[in-house]
Order: sequence, then C-alpha cells, then structure tokens
Amino acid sequence: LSVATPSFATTRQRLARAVGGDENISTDAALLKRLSGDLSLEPFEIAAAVVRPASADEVAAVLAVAAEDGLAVSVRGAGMSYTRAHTPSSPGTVLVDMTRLNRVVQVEAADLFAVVEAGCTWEALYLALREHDVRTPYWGPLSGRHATIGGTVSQNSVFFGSARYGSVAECVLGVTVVLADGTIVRTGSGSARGANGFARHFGPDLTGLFLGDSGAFGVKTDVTLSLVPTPQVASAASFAFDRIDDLVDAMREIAARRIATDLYAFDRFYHGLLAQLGFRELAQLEWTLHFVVEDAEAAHCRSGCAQLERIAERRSRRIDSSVPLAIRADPFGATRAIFRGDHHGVHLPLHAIVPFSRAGTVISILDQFLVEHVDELSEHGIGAWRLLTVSGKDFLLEPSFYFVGDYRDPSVAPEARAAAVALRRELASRFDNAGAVHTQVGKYYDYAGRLEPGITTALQRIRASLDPAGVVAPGALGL
Amino acid sequence: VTETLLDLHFPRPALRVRALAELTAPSPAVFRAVSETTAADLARGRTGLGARVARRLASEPNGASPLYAQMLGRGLRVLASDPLREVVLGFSPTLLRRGFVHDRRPASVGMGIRYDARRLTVEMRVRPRSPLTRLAAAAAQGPVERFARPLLDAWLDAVRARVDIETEGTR
Repeated sequence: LSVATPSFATTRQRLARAVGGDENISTDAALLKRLSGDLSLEPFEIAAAVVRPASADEVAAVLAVAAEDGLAVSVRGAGMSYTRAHTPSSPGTVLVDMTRLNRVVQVEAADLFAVVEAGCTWEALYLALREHDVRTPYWGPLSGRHATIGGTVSQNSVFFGSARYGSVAECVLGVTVVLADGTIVRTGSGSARGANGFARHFGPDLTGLFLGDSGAFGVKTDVTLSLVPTPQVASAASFAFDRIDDLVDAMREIAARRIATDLYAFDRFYHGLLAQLGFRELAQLEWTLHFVVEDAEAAHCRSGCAQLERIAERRSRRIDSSVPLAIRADPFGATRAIFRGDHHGVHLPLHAIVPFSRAGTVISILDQFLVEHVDELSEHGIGAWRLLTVSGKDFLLEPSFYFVGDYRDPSVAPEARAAAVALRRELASRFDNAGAVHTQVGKYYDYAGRLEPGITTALQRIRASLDPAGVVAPGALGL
Repeated sequence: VTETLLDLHFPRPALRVRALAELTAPSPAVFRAVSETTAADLARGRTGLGARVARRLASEPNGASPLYAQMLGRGLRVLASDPLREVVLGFSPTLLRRGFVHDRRPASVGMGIRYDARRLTVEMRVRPRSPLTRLAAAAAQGPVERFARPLLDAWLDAVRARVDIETEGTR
C-alpha cells in the first residue's frame, strides 16, 4: 500500500483509533525518514506511518490493523541500533515507536524484582530504582540516556555490570509480548495464577525465546528484571599496558574472578578522545585497562579490588583511576561526550564475542585486516578504534570505524561512508568465520545462515507458529 | 545526616568553602551541565572577582574547554563517584608534579560536586597532613573563602543557566 492511496487513508484512521487518537500517529515524511533509519549506514525503506501506543492492548490493536491490511510492522525503541534492528525492509511498514510505554510499573525492592515498560530508558530506570536503594545487575549500555529497556532486551547488550552479571538477558525474569495475532503472552512466574514475576523459571524457559530475538517473535511491552541492592561503595583501578597480549591475559584472569562489575580497555584512539575530556596523559599510552569493584562494605570492596590489582600489576604499570570513576559519575553521558569535540563524526562499530581462548584469534584477524586495508583506510581518512570488554566470562572485541561524516546525510563524505560500510561487512564475516557470536544481531549479522539445519528449522517453525504471515519485524535474525 | 562521598574522602577538613544552588532539573541534565560549562559561561554578563578569574581562564590555552575537563587537565583526579549524584575530585601537590600516576596517599585538597534533593552543592575542602598545617589551613579560611566563593557561585550560576537552556529546549 502506498501512503498516497485512499485505502491507506482508511488504514491510517484505523491505526489512529488503535493508539488513542490522531496525536499518536504521524505520516510526516521528514519524521518518517528520520525514525526509519538507524546508525548502521545500511539502506532502509521509509515507513508509511509511525504510531505511538501506550499499552499492550494498543500494540495488539495496531498489529490487528497491520495483519488485516497486509502491512509489516517494525518496532523502534530509541533507534540507537547499529544493526538494522528496527529499519523497515519493505515500503508500507508501520513503525511502532515504543517511547510512550515508558513507566516503571512495579518495584519490589524486598523481593528484588521490578517491572518496567519497554520504552523506558536505562537512565530513567536507574534513577527510579535508586529511590528504593536497588539497581538491576546489568544496569545499562553507554547509550543508556536514550537506549530503551525493550530495545536492549530485544537486541541483548553488555556494559555496565556485565563483568560480574553478564549481559542484560541474564537479568531478565520475564517479558510481556504481544504476538502478531494480538495474543498477549506473559513469561516467567508472573504468568502463573496467584504468582507474581519474581522468578524466571517455572516450567520451560520461554522468556529466553524472546531475548535477543531482535523482535522476530513479537512486540515486547514490558520486562521484569531482577534487582540487587545498590552497592554502597565502589573502588576503581586503571593500568597502562604496552602489549595487547598482556592486556588480554589480565582481562581473562580478572573476568574469571567475577569480582569486577565493569571491565573495559581502550586503545590509543579512545585515549585521544579521553585526552580532550581532560585526561591528557592518556594520549601517550598504547592500551589502558579499567575496572570497577562494588560492594555493600568498604572492606570487601577494597579486598576485591586489591586481588584484581595484583593480577593487572604483573603485566602493566598502574595509573590514576580517574577514567572509570568519571565514566561512572555520568555513566550514560558517554555517548554525548563521544560525539562532542573533535570526534563528532561517524563511529561504525561491530563486535565479536568469543571465549578468551580465542581472543588472540579475533585480535589477529583485526590486526591483519587493518594491515591489508591500510591504504583504503588512509585514503578515506578512516580510523579504526578498539574497545575491549567482557560479557561475563567471555571476551568482547569492538572495533569501530571512524570518519568525519554524518549519520543521516549520505552526501557528506560519501566515499568514506561506502568504504566504512564495506570494511565493516567484510570484517564481520571474518569474525564469524572464526566462530564469533554477537549481541544485537538485528538484520545485520549472519545468524540464521550460520546455524545447523535442525535449529534453523525449529526457529522457522516457531516463527511461523507465532507469526504465520510474517507481520512483525520481517527479516530480523535472517528468518 | 547523609554521609557524602566528600565526607568519606575529606573528613574533618581544616578549610571548607561551599556554594549551593536550588535546581529543579533532573540529575542527568545537571551533571551534563556541570561537565560542559566553560569559563566563558562564567564570565558572561557578570562582574566581580568570579567573572575576572573566569575571563582569565577563558583566555588561556584550552580556555574554551569545559571547566570540568580543565580541572582534570590541571591535575585534579576523580577520587570517587556515585552515578548521577556525586563526584569527588582531589589532588595533592605531589600528584600534580608527577602527572597521571597512581598515588596511594590521600589527596590533601578536594572538591565535591553533589546533586541531591534538588540541591546542587559544590564544596572545596582541605585536609591537613599535620597539626601545623591544620592551623595554617584554618587561618587561611577567610582569604580563601573571599577568593573561592565568588568563583563557585559564578560556576553554579552558569550551570543553572545551561540547565535552563537545555531543559527549556526539551519541554
């Protein structure tokens, strides 16, 4: 259907009714273009309409209209994806903007769980939970000022808290999902008569089916997350390494202890950015490792930090720990800081998650790739930044191609843009060949194509059963 | 009385200078403004000692950088942080000389920036290393306060102005 046809005008009216009125739907061309895109620089179709539901029932009503009129539906959180999570694959798509579903619904501080709507940001959730002296174990991505709970859970994510608690998926107890036919499904113990959402496991773990699914199996409207008491004290430490091998060895040993909550390392490109933010001495350093240890008691915190410091000190020299403490002071402000100053161009990241025994392999792949493409990188002024972190016990390497350009305007530095997009695709393929896995699969990383035939068939059957017409998030996960 | 991170890191100070502003903005907007306010913001439309010092800072190399980044660049270190509530900076003369190195000794001069219950507080403290320096610091309280207080007030005014502009834009 085209937005100009009379039949779409009827569809529009019905969609408006589904979301409570005309103020919650838009077909403004400029807005649709902006909301349809993400940060991947990959091509996308422009949605026919964007709707803003405020409840699971309204989401179900939107899906009913879409199903009746044969329209695809894409679901958008903050649009911070680099992997085409929500970008429409076909014209006529209805974009569901979840940001009106932004309430923290229930906080059970004594029982350590909370229910939050999918469009709530990590920052808003953090601040709301702080009033109750609790926090989620994984407590958000660097982009948590904008990134939503639903988007993060659908794509999976690691950063704050991940060294100790793993990815966000490991903190989810249950979800409420609207299926393509409008059925509202609650998973976890909250689905049982007389119980609330305190536990993930009661029978088969259907919650897991909807985590990291990139929205392929339905529209999440709320998420039940486990909580931990807010740590009362935090210690941090930082170390300078000359060799990446030594850095990775230290990260492996530190990650295995599961004492640190945050653990990450920067290369000299990130050091250049941090130097602009006041940490001038970092500009001279090759690699730096930073970790944060949190606890309820100062003595435990100090002793845990000391254990990890001894590991790092064997291979490096200690430096001031201002960087992790400054990041922690305004944890979700990092994205703004990155896009400020001299580095306000385009950062195009990808990542590889591997067991630590394969960390050297993916690092070698990256090094070799950069050597092979040195002329191309130089010709287009593309830098390759490297962030290292962990997902629980596992290693995560995130290179990022940087160039002076504009995410939304392809006419700015078009050759550098095309080169960065092509380089990223090729590198992702090499990481996959080395056995890497990914969070944020979206419609970017090869997922379905890499699976054994049995599991592919199973997933296709699940998808066909939940969404026979393929209305919701077509193309997600490559299904 | 809540024990702040500043209390933990600088207990029993011999010298303290404190400025306070009442704000209504959410804490992310306040911390963003704290980290982005420049010396030029302090000088804008103001007279007096705080504005004069700010103008001098703004004219120096890197003067256009936010004051927070300038403080870090001039040797202040982040000693502790409570996300979106408090950050404590500090230094010791030794640290300033030695650059970006770890120093196990407690810092002797510090500053806490705290936003809680809609009150933004900026407080400088000096922790003496001996009875003699405690006496010296106490004697310096008056002159230091006369110099530092207008500067802290100007900073808070500039932060408030920046918060107002940002939150106005999002209403």
